Amino acid sequence: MRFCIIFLGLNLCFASFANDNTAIVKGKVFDASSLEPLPGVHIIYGKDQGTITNEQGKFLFHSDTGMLSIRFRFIGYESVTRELFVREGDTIDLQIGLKPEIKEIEEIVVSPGKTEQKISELTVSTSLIKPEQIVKNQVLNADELINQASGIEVMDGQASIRGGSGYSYGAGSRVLVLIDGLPALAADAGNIKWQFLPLEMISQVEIIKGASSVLYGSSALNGIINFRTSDADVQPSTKISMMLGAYGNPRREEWKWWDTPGFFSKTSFSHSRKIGNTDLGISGRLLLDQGYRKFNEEKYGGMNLKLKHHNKKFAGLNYGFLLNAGYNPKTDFILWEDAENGALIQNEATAMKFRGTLFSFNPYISLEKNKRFRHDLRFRSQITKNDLPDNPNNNSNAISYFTEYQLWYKLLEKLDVIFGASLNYSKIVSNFHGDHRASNAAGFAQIDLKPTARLKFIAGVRLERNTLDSLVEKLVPVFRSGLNFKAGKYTFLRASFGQGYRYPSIAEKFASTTTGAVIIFPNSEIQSESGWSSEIGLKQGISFMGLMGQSDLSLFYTQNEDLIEYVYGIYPIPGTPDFDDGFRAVNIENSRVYGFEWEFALYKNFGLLNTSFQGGYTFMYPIEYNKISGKNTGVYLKYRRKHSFALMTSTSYKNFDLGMNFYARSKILNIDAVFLHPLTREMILPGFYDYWIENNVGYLVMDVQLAYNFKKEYTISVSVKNILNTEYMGRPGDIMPQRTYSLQFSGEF
Amino acid sequence: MKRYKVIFLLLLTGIFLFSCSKKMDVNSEQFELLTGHIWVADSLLADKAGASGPGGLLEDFTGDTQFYEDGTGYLGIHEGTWYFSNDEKEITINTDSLPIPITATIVELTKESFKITTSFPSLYLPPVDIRMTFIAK
Repeated sequence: MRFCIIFLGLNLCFASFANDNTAIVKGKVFDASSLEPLPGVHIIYGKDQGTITNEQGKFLFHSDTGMLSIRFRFIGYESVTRELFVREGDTIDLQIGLKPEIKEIEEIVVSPGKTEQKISELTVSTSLIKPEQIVKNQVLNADELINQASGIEVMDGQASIRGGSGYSYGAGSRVLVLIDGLPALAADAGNIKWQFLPLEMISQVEIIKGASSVLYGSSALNGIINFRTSDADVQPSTKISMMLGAYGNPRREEWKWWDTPGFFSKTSFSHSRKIGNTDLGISGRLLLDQGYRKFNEEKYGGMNLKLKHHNKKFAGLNYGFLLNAGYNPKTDFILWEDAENGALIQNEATAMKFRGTLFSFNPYISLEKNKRFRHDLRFRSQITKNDLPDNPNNNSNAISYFTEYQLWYKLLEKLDVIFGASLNYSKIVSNFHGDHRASNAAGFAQIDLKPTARLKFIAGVRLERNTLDSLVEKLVPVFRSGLNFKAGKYTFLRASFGQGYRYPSIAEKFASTTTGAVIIFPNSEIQSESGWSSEIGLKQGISFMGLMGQSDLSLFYTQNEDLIEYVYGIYPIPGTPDFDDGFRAVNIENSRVYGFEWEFALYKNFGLLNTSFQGGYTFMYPIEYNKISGKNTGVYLKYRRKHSFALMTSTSYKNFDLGMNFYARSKILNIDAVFLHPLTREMILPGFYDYWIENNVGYLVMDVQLAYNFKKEYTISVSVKNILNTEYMGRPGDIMPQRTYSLQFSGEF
Repeated sequence: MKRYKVIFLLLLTGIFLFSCSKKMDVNSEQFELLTGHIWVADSLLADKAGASGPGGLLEDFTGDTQFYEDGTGYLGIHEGTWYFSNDEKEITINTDSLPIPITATIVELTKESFKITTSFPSLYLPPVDIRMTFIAK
C-alpha cells in the first residue's frame, strides 16, 4: 500500500512539472584558470531559491519562465551573475568559469579605522593572524603566536613592532593589546597579560604596525594587537584541542639538570551557536607547563563566555557581553644561576611564586541604521590580582573601568566620519607600587574621504588628558593622516603618518622592591614618551599561472623621544642621604628606526597537492639621536636587531599536511652596559659576558609539523619545534626553549 | 549643512597645524646655570678624604668640566652624557669610564658653585661616598 502511495505521489510530481510553466537550467562551473570543475559552488536564483554544484561541478534546477537572474558564488572566486530569459520547456546549458579572487587583499579588518575595511584599502601596514595558525603550529601561548608574525618580536613578554621597543624589565608596553577593540593592559604594571587572552575564541588577530594613538590612546605608541573574538555562525560549531609535549635535551649536555624531561599540555575547547536571536560563544583552556628551566613553571585555567543578542523589534540593534576569567599560578624566570652549568636553572634568590588572577566583563550595545550611522557604546571592567605568596610585600591588586562611545556616520556618499569619547579609571592597591588612582579622558574624530573610487584619504585627531592621583597632566593632542590609492586591479599604494604617546605605567613610576640582588628604584618624576611613525607601502595582489596571494612592501620611519628605559646605575635611596645601585626608569632614549618590510602570502595548487608560503623579511636600522642637535649618535638602540625573517610553509596532499616554519633573527645590537662592564657584569648575571661575546650571533629556528585529517572533522598532528636544537637567547640570560616534541588531537564539528 | 562641513574641515586643519607645530622648549634656570659655565673642580672627596691627588680615586675628574646643552659634555678627562632627573634635583652622568651611570644629588647650583653628592660602586668593598664641588671659571 505504502509503495502505491509513493508511486502515485511521484506521478503527481512529474505531472505537475510537465504541466507547469517551467524550464530546466543545467550546466557546469569550473575554475577559469585551470578549467578544473568546482564542487560546492552556491547557485542562487529566483527569490530565496538555490542549489550547489556536485562533485563534478555540475548543477541542475527547474525554473519558472520569464527573466531569470542566476548568481554563482564560491569562496576564493569572483561571483558571477547571469541574466536569462527562459521560455516554457527550455533546457538551458550553462558553462560558467569563475575567476579566482585574491582573498588576501579582500580580508576585512576593523582595527585600523574602527570600522570594517578591506585590508587592501588601508593606509597603514596591518598584519592578520588567523586562528587556524594556532592549531596548525601547535601554539601554546598568545605571545608565541605573536612572535611568529613578521616584523614583531616578543622579548620575555614585551612586544616590539618594527623595533619600536626594546626590553623594559616587564613594566609598560608601547604596544597596546586589545580584546575586541578594548584595551587589555594591566592597570598597574601596564604590561600585557598574554596568558589571559581568549586565544581559543578568536576570529582573527589584527596587528597595526605604527603609532595608533589617535584611535587607541596611550600605549599605542608602537602599534596595536587586537584579538577579535568570533561570533556564532548559522551552523553551531564546536572545536576541541588536546596537546601533550615534552622538552628535549639542550645542545650542551652540561646544561641538563633533570632526570625526567619537563612536560607540557594544553586542552582547549570552544562552542558557538545561535539560539533564536542570540549568539552564544563559550570557550576554555587548561595549560600545564613544567618548563625546561628549574624553578620556572606555569599553569593556567580560564573560561570565556560571549553573548550577543540581535533585537527583533529594532533591526540593527544588538547588545551583549564578553566575560573572561582566568587563574595563572607560575614561577617567572628572572636570572640564571650561571652560564657554565646553570643557564637553565634559575637563581633561587630571584625565583618567586606568583599567582595571577584576572576577571573582565565587557558589555556593549550597538545600533546601526540604514548603513548610514552606527552608535557603539562599550565598556570593559578588568580586575587583576597578583599575589606572591613568598613575598606578600610585592602583591598588587588593580581594577580598571573603561568606557567608550563611538559614532560612525556616513555624512556624504564619499565621506564617513567617526567621533568618539572614552573614559578610563584605574585603582591600584599595592605595597609594591603604593596605592594610586588614575583616570584618563579622551575625545577623537576621524574623517574617511573617498573623492574617487580609487583614492581614499583619512585624517584623525585625538585629545587626551591623564590624571594620576591629584596630578592633572597637560592635554595631549595627536594627529594621523593617510592615503590609499588603487593603482591597478590588484595594486594598492599607501602612505601614512601617525603620532603616538604613552603615559608611564604605575610600575615605572612607583615600583620599589628588591628582587634577589637587584634593587628597583621608583621615579615619580618620569614623563610621558612620545613620537611618530610614517610609512609608504605597496600591496600587490598576485594571480599568475595559478599562483595566488599577495605581496606587501613598506618603507617605514619612526622617531620617538624621551622613551622610558630602565637604567642600571647609582641612585639616591628615597628618603635617605644614601645611594645604592639598581634599576630605575628614566626618560633617556631618543630613537629613530629606519627600515623596510616585505610580507607575502602565496598559494599554489598542483593537482591534489596544495602548497602555501607566507612570511616576511624586516630590515631595521635602530639608532639613538641627540634631541638637541637632531643628529644620530651612532649608538644602537638596546635589545633591537637589524634583520628578521619568518617563513611558514604548508603542503597538503589528500589527508596529510606537512608544515615547516623558519624563523631567523640577526644578533642583538646593544644591551644595558651593566651586563657588559667588568665591575658589574658578574654580580648581576654570572658568566653572561663571555657567553654573550661568543653567542650573540643571531639564530635560525625551524619547526616541523605533520598532520593527518580523518573523518573530515578530526586532525592528529605531531610537531617538533626547534628541530635543529638551536641554542639562542632573548634578553640577557633568557635562553629560549630547546627542541620540543608534541602530539595534538583537534576536532572541529 | 555645507557651512558645518567647512567648519569641521577648518577645525581639523587647525588642530593638525596645532599638533604639528614645533614645541617651544624653554630651558629651566637650573639648565641655564649648569650649561652656562665652564666649571673647575674645587674639592673632590671620597669618603670625606681628598681624592684628587695623584693616584687618587677622583684624579681623572680634576680640571675643567663642561655640560653642553645637547646633553653631552666632559668631566675632567672623561667625555660622556648627562641629564637632569627627579625634577632637576639630581643629575645623571654617564661616561665610558664609569661602569654604570652615576646619579648624583645636586646640593647646590648657583652662578658661582656646583656641588653634588653620590657614591661610587666597588666590586668587593662597600660603595665610596663621593662629594664634588666645582666653581665657575
